[in-house]
Amino acid sequence: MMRAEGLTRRFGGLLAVRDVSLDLRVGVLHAVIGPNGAGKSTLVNLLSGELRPTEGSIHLNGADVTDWPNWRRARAGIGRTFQRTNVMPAMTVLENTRLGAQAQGASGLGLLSAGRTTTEAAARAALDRVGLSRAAATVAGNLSHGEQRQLEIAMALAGQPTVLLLDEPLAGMGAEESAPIAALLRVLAGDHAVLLIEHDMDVVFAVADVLTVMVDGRVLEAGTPAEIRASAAVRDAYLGHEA
Amino acid sequence: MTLTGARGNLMLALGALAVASMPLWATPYHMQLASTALIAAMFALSLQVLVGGVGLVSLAHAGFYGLGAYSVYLLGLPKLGLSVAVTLPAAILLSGGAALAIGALALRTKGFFFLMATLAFGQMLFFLFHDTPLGGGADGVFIQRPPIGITLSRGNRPTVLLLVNLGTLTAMYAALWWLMRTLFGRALLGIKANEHRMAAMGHDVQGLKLAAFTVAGALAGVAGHMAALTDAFVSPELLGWHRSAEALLMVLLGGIGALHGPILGAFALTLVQEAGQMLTERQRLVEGGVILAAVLLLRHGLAGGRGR
Amino acid sequence: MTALAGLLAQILNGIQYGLLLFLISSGLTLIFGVMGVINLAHGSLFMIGAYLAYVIASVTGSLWLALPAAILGGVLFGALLERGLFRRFRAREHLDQVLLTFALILLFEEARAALLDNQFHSVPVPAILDFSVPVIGGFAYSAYRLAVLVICLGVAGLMVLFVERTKIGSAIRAAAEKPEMVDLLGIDAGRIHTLVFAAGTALAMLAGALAAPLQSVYPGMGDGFLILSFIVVVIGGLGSIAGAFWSALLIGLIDTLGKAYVPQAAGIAVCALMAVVLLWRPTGLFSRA
Repeated sequence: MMRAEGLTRRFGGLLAVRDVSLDLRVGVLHAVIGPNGAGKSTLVNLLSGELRPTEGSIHLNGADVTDWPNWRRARAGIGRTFQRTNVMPAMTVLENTRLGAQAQGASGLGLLSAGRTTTEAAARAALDRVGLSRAAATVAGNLSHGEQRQLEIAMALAGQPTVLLLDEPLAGMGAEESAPIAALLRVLAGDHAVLLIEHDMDVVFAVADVLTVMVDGRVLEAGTPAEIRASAAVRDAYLGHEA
Repeated sequence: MTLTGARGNLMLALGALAVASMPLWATPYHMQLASTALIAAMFALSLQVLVGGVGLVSLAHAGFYGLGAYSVYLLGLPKLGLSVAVTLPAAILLSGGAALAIGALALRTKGFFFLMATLAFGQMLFFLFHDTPLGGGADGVFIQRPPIGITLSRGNRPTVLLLVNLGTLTAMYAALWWLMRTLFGRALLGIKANEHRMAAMGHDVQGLKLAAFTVAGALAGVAGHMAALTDAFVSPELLGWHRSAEALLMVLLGGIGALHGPILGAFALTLVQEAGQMLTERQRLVEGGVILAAVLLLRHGLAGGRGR
Repeated sequence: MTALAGLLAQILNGIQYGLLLFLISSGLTLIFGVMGVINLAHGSLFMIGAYLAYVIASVTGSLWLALPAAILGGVLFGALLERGLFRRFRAREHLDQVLLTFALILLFEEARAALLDNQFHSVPVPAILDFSVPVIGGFAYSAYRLAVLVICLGVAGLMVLFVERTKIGSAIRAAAEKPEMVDLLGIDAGRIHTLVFAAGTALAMLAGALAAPLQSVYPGMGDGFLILSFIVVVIGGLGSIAGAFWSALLIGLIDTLGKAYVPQAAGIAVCALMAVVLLWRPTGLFSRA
């Protein structure tokens, strides 16, 4: 599905990501964990096309997308959310989500249609899935923090991607708010290839099929949750701090 | 930018009716003044596609306006004697083509660089007509109006031109009202609100901006064409960046929060300029004062609406 | 030989014109870089400097007084503008900044018309420099133009020394590159802004005063310089003094040689150069990015 090989990203003298390889497959929820500054968000930005890798390659469905800009990758089926809520605050929830849907549909002169039916259906389906339908007419800036996080996911889903890159979707949420989203992540993994960045270890170990642990831009360890739990290296470098 | 609703459109229709009835009650001078305001409104409305529509501030816009005007001169030379059926599409093609070329370069930059690049490219068009014999010289040139289907006489000219300009502005407004409702228009508004997210969701932001820049330039060409047709005179001054700034002022005065804002702004500025001319010789003092007041006090424009 | 002498004269003219452009655009680029404010009225400051020189020269009979007056007046006027007006517009949208500074252009021009007139004036070259310096063979060059060249180079040198060698200078550089750095250096950002704006105004007015005897003093004379300085900043890269220097020389030469040899294409040639730079390196020819 999506395959990254030897990804390296340098910022001046700093190696934010070094030699990271990973595979994303539909049906598999792949979580990336690591302390702050481990390069997780940079990795998402490399995969989504916000940043170009200094070295390494990215393939999507067999096509080399390493040099594609973010919008082209999005059109090819990569949806992403942002760590910091990144929406159109003055527009309604439905308008926000519809813009996610319409990016995938028409182009060129096709944009001169009103296109309400198709884009609106896709947008409403996405809102349904994240449980935000009742707020469809609310102006996004007026949503609660938790609802804005849901909108983030809905906007990515509206484009009907095959790969979902979720950068801390639960950031800043209370336990009560995050439980349904965690359940949603599991559901989404059923028909998407999901990459999840998350700090909440309880959630990560509950939902992830595969885990990659990053420290200082490198992959420290990769494997199933059970393998990661058993890894001494991970415990020393990272999990020990949490306990 | 919000799209003007039913009530706003009704008010606009009433205003259009008032202008259309001018031949019944107004002097030829005032009808000419109204034509000036209508053309200014077309020009400002074309700029609203950029400012209110996609969030771009361009100082090249007068260049496209002037190209539209000069296409009347270049194609309407007595030897050719072509009618508006040729000159108007030519103006659209010429201005739109120039906007496409300039936009493709200028849109490689952002923010201040975009402003400076558009200023410089706009002035390049200005120099083209100011420094070369292409457009008949630096002082401008009187032109022969292309045939418009109605024989113009001294008596009917203000009336006919007023109604032609009103019809053109109405058509332009209707076209933009429709355009901003399409997927294209909504994508533009999305870019204005959050360009980064739009790209991340798969919108070709650069391509959409270039399309908006081209459409805006082509419509500015229509406004310039109507100016040349109305005044029967073109000069390089039409392309100068001061005129771009004036159009930005009309947009700000009317409000970038609503599609119809620039129409109000254009009429307001034309009236202020006219009043200033009657009251004082110090034109620039009046205009500068109006701008200062608008920038310092009027945050939402005459049309109100969110979007700032 | 005469053709060659003419070419040499034009090249010197181009360098001298480029250096004047540098005085104007270095202020412009720093004001953009440090304050994030776009100042379309920067060309009007040049115009004000030229008119100041005209008034002082015709009252006192000497241009020399005009130079310190332009610098001092520029510092005061610039500080006043920054504190009174531009400070409030730093966080405003480009549209507001464009219109505010457009209004200033109109008001400055109107003030000039009210205080003086709308005529063209010439300012005599100072008597002491009213001769030609033999350069090579039969070719001689205006002493005043050479003096302008030297003064501009001196000012450029002082600027580089100030920006490279002093603490405030390094704060300005930091602010132009990374505004959030200024606080870390423990320097009051507001004072940096006032300083930069005052210095930029003084440089533009000094350029105007120096240019007064070289060209007529006339309404709207700042407009051409404004456009060219914008192009200099685009080509040189935002906030870069070295970039402004080299691109000002480049533009000065192209514009001067163009006007001398292909007058119809000079204005277009400069813009075309900018187009090429934008295609090739959208962040400017001399930027590090």
